[in-house]
Amino acid sequence: MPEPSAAPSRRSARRAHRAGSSEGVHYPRWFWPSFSLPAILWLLVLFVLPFYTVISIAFGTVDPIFRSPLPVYQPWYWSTEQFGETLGKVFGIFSPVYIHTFQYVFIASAICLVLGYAIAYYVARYGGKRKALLLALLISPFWISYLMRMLAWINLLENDGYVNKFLMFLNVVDRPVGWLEGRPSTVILGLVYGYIPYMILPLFGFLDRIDVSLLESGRDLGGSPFSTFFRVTLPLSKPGILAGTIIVTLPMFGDYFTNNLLSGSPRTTMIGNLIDEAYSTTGQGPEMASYVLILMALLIVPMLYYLRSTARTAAGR
Amino acid sequence: MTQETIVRADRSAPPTSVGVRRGLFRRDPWRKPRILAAITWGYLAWSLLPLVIAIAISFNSSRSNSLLHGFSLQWWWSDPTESLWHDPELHAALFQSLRLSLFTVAIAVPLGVAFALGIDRWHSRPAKGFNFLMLLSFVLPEIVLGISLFLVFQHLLTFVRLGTTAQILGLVTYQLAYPVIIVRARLLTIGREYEEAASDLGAPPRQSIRRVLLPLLYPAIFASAAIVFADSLDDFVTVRYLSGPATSEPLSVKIYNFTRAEPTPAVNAAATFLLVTTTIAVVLGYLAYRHATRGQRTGGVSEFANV
Amino acid sequence: MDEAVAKLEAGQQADVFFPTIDVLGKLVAADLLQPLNHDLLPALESDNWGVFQDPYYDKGWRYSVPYTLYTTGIGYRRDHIPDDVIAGRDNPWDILWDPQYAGKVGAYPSYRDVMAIALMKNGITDLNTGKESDLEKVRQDLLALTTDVDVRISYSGAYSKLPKDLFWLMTAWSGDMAAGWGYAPPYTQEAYENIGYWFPPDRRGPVDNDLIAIPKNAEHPALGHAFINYFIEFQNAMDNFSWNAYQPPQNQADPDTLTTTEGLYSEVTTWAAPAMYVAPWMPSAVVRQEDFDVGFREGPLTPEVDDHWHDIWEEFIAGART
Repeated sequence: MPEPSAAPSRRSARRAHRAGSSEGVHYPRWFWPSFSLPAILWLLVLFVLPFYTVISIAFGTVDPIFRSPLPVYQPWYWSTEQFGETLGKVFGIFSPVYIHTFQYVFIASAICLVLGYAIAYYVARYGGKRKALLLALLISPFWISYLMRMLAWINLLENDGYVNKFLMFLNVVDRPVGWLEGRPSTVILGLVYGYIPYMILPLFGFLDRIDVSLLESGRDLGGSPFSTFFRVTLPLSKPGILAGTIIVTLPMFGDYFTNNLLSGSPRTTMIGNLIDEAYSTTGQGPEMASYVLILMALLIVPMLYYLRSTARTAAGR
Repeated sequence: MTQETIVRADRSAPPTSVGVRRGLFRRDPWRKPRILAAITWGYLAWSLLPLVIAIAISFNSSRSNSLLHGFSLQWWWSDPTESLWHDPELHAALFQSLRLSLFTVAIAVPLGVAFALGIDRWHSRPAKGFNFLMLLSFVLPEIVLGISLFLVFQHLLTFVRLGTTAQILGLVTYQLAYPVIIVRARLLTIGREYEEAASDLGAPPRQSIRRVLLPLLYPAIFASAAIVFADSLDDFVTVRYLSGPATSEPLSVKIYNFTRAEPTPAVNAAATFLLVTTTIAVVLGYLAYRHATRGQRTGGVSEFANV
Repeated sequence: MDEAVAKLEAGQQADVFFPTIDVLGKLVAADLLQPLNHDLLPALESDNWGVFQDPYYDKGWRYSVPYTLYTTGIGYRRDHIPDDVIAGRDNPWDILWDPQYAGKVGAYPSYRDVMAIALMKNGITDLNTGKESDLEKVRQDLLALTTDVDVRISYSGAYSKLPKDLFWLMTAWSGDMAAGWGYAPPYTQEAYENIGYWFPPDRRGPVDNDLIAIPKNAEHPALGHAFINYFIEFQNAMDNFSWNAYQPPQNQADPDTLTTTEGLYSEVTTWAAPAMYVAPWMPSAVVRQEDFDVGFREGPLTPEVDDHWHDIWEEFIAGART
């Protein structure tokens, strides 16, 4: 058992470095990894293995009578027939689905970013005495169920609901508008409403930590508020923007319930709906698995970019 | 410099910026920006007002879920068949929700905290790889996780039947990243000095962690427990795919199904009940954290912002 | 149904299961159902229709009993579309494709029923067809629903959106529309009378029934049998009928009196005004024994044909356009 020593010799310093600490405290080599081991095992069994199962089903076959999916675990027996067919559909008859999913997610994320940044900036810099209260209110959507928030909007957007009543009262429209009848704007509104808290919080975290003196010095050196913002604040908050964008955009691609709840028409079907429909249909197991793989392939590049940049920032701290 | 120049320097004028027209900034440039304030309070109203109305509708005296016609408790307990109090299906669902959340918190938080501690101190390529895996599980759409777990329980790990066990396993996998991220952020600000001081004073590693490091992490642990609890209570994507018999459907899934079928104000009542439960849990968690960290100057509510 | 079958295949335990005819063969072949003990089901022969005593899909009722009957037709709002307008059309089935009702047409997310209506519209009476030409017509028609009338797909169209005047037309089962009185705010006689149901007067349309069965992994099979017997006994079946408006094949229920007799729900509930088993202005929602002789049944499809049907449906659901 290594003893703590006040003045480490070179050998013990090397040992200490390998053991994972830089000064003073000596831990055995297995010490810290053993902490992570349970969670690692958990992830390997319940995160990595299921993905392998998804691949095995996408490249597997289907039982001829019951049409239940038959996974094929050995890579050399994999058949690309089902996956190829699904890929063809993605670029063929379902390409409108993918296109307008991208549109909705892009627009919703952009709104979340601009709006979220404004709010996070205000609360971080100008919150003052009310900062804790504002923060608590901003956090509240985290523990208010997403369903309840959507339910609230469904209630309001019904044809005889209060939104239409309000609009008619203001004479903006003269007949009730069918908000829940397959409008992309409603779906985008739902996405923004549901995901914007996930944008505000990381942004706030980053903006809060920016040293105010940096901003003040920008002003002192003669910059206008705008140029201070663009040349000082914005670059400093880049990691926060990246984090917030990733946390919001990536899950949005797999969203299916917003569309289900807020739109009754097939026109606004999203990628997640394709997966969900295939889940409830007999004989479409490989197809569902293929959709999942294609979705992951779409998201892997932004994910890797995000992970590399967080690793860089973490190293730089 | 002449006498007049010195006199002419107007000290009462507010500081203006070089290169900007003077007229624009007669007002105090350090004042609170009104537009941003308006946006923020407007957003909060837009964010929270619909919920107030949704809660009000749960007390609706008519069957309508869009217009308020009067106050009534029928959806909460007077209606003999459809109210929250009398509907046995909703009771079972509520207990299932609580059961799932409590088990998930009990498993995910210790696993996540331990993982965070380990990864933070264990510098090596495998550590980076596992950290990547953990972050991956955080940003992936939940449907991907739900479907892949459904498939693995159906085909590979078939000894786990779809139902409560599968749901708990799925929820923990999905929520594992929250404690990790929150605790890691906290660890970065704590630094090594306390442990070193402890070991200088003769404490073996295990003790220094238990008696020095962990207490410093209490705020992060409580924050992550509260978030994991609230998030699992509301989760319906993963648990829906992993649900088995009807008794294993938690309240969130029931609300989702009812909303798609025929939403009556009873659904609002169920959702409001869930909201109240989560609020109580979060408040209790916050009070417990305040009690445990009395005497320390910590971030407070902003702990939750360290995502 | 797909989801329920998938769960049963995955090993979920249940004491009683309510399959449809088209999946029964599959379930039996997969050894998921147990044979029924008819000694425990006296009500089967005594109370239920003769035409059902030996059906083609389950000879001798070995694995299932009949549960409810229904026809598949068109639900509509009588205040916007008078009865004679829809009945007077050359091909009333195609009213669902009429562009003047764009935005007001609903479809139930059930592939067999909506595609059956498309087949009926084209005059194709084989509701289990695998013919390429037939299915191509169906595919075109489904996609036309999206482009021509902007169809809405909704679980609650028949008993929520139509009574609320959001939909004017809906693909519906007879049971959904017959219960319309329970769902039409503000629950007055006028509101009830706005809901109508159309089915071909010569009764040549989709007609079917549901089943009750007991899974092999039932933990309490005797209790399951008792439950089934309870449900198919006359008075209980009629009480169930008055609750969910789906007619049971009961000998003692004279079809001609169903539009004039009040049911249990009417006495118990606080919502509805006196309500008959079937509303008097939709006599076409009543199902008779003779309907099964002239009507068309939705039976099981072979796996390849079923795949083809599902592919067409998937295209429709994903919002593909012609």
